[in-house]
Amino acid sequence: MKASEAFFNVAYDLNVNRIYGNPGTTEIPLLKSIDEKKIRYILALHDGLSVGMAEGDYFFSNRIQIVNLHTIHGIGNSIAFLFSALKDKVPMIVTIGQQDRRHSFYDPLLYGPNSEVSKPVVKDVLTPSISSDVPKMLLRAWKIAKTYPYGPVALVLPMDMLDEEIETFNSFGTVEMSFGYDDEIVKKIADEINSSNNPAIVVGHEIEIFDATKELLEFAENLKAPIYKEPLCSRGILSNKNPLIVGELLPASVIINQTFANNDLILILGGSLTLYPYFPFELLKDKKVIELTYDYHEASKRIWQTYVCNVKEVLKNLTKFCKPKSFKKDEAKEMQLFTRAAAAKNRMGIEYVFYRISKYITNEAIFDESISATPALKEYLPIKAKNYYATRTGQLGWAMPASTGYSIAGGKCLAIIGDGSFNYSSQILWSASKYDTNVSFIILDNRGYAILKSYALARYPQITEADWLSPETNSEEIAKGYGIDSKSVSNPDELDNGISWALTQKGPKLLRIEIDKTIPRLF
Amino acid sequence: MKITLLLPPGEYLKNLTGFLTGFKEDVYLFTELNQEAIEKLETTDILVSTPFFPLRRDILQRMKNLKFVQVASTGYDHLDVDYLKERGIIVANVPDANDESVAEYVIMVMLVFLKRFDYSLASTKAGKWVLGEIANTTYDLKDKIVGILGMGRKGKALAKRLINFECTIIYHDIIKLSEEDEIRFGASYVDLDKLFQYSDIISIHLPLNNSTKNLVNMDLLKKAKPNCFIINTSRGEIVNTNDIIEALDKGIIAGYATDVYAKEPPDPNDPLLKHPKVIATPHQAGVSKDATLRIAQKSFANILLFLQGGKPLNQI
Repeated sequence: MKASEAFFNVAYDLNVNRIYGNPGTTEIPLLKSIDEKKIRYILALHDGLSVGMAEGDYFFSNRIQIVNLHTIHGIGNSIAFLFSALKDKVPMIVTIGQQDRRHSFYDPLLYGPNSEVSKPVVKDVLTPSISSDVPKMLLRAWKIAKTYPYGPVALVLPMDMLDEEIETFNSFGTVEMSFGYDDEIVKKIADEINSSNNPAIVVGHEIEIFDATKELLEFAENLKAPIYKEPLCSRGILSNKNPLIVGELLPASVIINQTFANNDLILILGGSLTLYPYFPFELLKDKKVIELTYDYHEASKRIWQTYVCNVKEVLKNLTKFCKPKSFKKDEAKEMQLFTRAAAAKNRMGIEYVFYRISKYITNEAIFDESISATPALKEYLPIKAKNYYATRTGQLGWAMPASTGYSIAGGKCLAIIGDGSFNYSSQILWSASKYDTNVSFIILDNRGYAILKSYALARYPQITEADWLSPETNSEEIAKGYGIDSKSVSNPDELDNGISWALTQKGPKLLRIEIDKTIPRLF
Repeated sequence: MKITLLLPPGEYLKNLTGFLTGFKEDVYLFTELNQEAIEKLETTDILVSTPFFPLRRDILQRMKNLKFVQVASTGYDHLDVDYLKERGIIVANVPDANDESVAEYVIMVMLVFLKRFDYSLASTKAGKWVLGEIANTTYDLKDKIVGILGMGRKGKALAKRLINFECTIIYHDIIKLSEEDEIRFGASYVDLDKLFQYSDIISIHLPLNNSTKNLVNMDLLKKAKPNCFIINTSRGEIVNTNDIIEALDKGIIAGYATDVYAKEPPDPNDPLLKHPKVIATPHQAGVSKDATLRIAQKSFANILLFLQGGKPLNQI
C-alpha cells in the first residue's frame, strides 16, 4: 500500500468527511489516493479561504476536518486564517505539501521552510521522517488537535514519501478529554478493565506530580494487577517493596512487548513508554492500551486509547467500579537480589555496593545520576514516593546541583553519581560547601563512561576500548579542592565504614567508591 | 594394638592399606563381614568402619577390646553410637573430606535434569537427532531458585559453587547462618514451607535422625512448584518414597534424583529405580576416587593421633 493510501485509511477511520483546500502540484501525490465517496474535496479559490471554511464546518459539525494547503505559498496565503483558528481554539489538521526530498539539495521550485513558517500560527507542526510514519503522524496530529487547547496542527508531507510502499497500517488510537471529573470516562475505563482477563498497570511521573500515590495504591490493591514503573522513571511514585510492584520497564520496544506478552490490557497511568535503543518492533502492536495523562503532548504520541485527565481524580473514582483480578507477585524477588549481591561482593559489583548502602540509608531523598548503575540502584535501594529524583532527559550533570538545592531548601539527601556524570558539575561542590548543605555524594567510579561502553559493546564493539570512553579523574581529590570532606574505598572490607561515614556525619561529604569496571550488558 | 579395617573393595581399601603399610601394629583387612572378620573384631582395638557394613549392637558387644572407631565417611548411622559411647569408646568420622564431591555431584544432577542430558545422550548414541525437542524442553541453572535443605558443610559447599551459576540460593536449617555467612554463600534463610514453595530445585543435606526421618512427605511436596526437582544425597529415609512416587505420578513435582535408599543396595524392583522421572545412582555422591583418598588420609591421620595418645579429631 502507498503511504498516501494509508493516510486516507486513517482519515476514513477518524470520520473525516471533508477536505478543504486549494491544491498545487505538491499536493497531487496525496490527493491521488482520496476516495471521494468517503471524503469530499471542497475547493476554495484561495488557500486561506479553505481554512476559514473548515473553521465554520467545525462550529456546526463538531468534527475535525482536514485542510489541504499548497506548500509555502499556501501557508503564506493562510496565515491570518490559521492564526484565527488557533486563537478561536478550533481543531483541524492542515496538510502542507513539500517538494520531493531527493532533490531538495538543489533548492527546487516550491521547496520551502514550511515547518518554520507555519509554526507561529498553529498548535504544533509535524513531519514524518519515514514513509511508514505518514498514517501514524495523521493520528498524532488528530490527537494533538483534539486535546485542549484545541487548534490547527500542521502536517508537512514530502511528495516522494507519499508514493512509497508501506505495510498496511491497522492500528487505531483515540483521545478523549475530561474537564474535571467525568463519570462517563471513568465507567468506560472500568468496563475495559473488567472485561480484561489479565491487565497490567504502568505508572509514571504524573502520579507523583499530582500527588496520586494514595489513590493509585487503593486502586491497584483493589484490582490486584501487576504494577510496572515507566521506563527511566524519574520519580519514586510508590515503594519498590510494594507486593504489586514487578519492576521498572526497560526503554526498548522488544523488551516491553515481551513483558506484556500475556497481558490483554495495559493501563498507563500518568506515564510514558520512553524508548532509547532502536529495535525494529512496533511498540505494543495489536495490544489494547489505555493511557491516562494530563499532558496533551504525551497524549498525542501513541496510537492508543488516550484520556487527557487528572489521573488522581480518575483513580479516586475508578476503584469502586473495578472487579479484582488475581495477580500474585514473585515472592522470591528479595532472595534473588540477595544472591546477586553476594555474588558481586568480591569484585565490588554495583549490586553489592547498593545492598550495603541500603543497610545505612534512612530517610534521605535519593538523587540518582548513576546512569549505567541505575537499574540496580532501583532494585536495591528503598525507593518510595517523594524520595527519588532523576531527570527525564538523560542530561549528565543534573543531579549534583539538584541535590544541593534540595539540601539548601532543608532536605536531607544522598546523591549517587557516576564518575562520568561527576565531571559535568563538580563545581557545585563549592556551593555545597559554602552554603553548609547536608548532601552525601557517593561517586560510583568505574573509570569511564560505562553506559557508552555498554552501547558500544552491543553495537560497535571495535570502539569499546577507545581511550576517549575512559576519562579517569579522582573525585576524592577534586572534592578536597572545593573544601568537601572526602574519602575513597576500593574493597568490600572498607565499604561499610565508608558508607556509614558518608551517611551519618553531618555536612556535605563525598565518598568515592571504586566499583567493578566490567562493562555492563545494558543494551 | 590390633587394627581392623572393614571396608568395601576398591579405593578405600587400597588407599588405607597403602597408608598403614609399615605400621608396627597388627592390621587386618576385610571386605565382607564374614565369620573370620567377626572373630578378628572380637579382639580388635581400633575399628575402621564405613556405612557399607552396618554393625548391629550384638556384634559390637562381642568386641571386648574396642577403644576407638574411625568411621571412614561422613555418615555414621550404621553404628549404634549411643551404645559405643556408653562403653566409653571413642567414635570419630570424617565429616569434610567429600563435601566437594557431593556438591559437584548435586550440580551435575541438576544439570542432567535441566538439560535432559541422559535422554539426549542416549538418543544421540542411538542415532536419533533430538535437537529440536531438546531446545524446547531444557533449561539453564541461571536464574533458577535452588533451595538447600540443611546448611551444614555439604550445603555450604554446594552454595559456594552455585553462586557462580547466577541462580538464587535459599536455605533452611535448624540454625540460621550469621549475616556474614549468608553473604558469603549468597543464601537467604526461609522456613521449610517457603523452601518448598519457592524452589525450582531442592537439594537435601540433612542427617538422619528422629526429626528428619520422613520429613519430605506429601504435606511438604504439595507446597512445591510443579516444575520442582528434588535431589537427595543424604539418606533415603528422609524422603517418604511412596509420597515422592505419588507426587511424580500426579505432576505435583517434576523429578526426583536419589543417590540414597532406605535399603542399600535397593531391591532391583524398587519402584524408584523403575520410575521415568527418577534419576537413580548407587550412593556415589561422596565417593569419588579423589574423595576416597582424602577420607583415607584423614582417617589415617586420626588413627595415628589416637595411637600417639592424642585426642582424635571430629569425635561424634
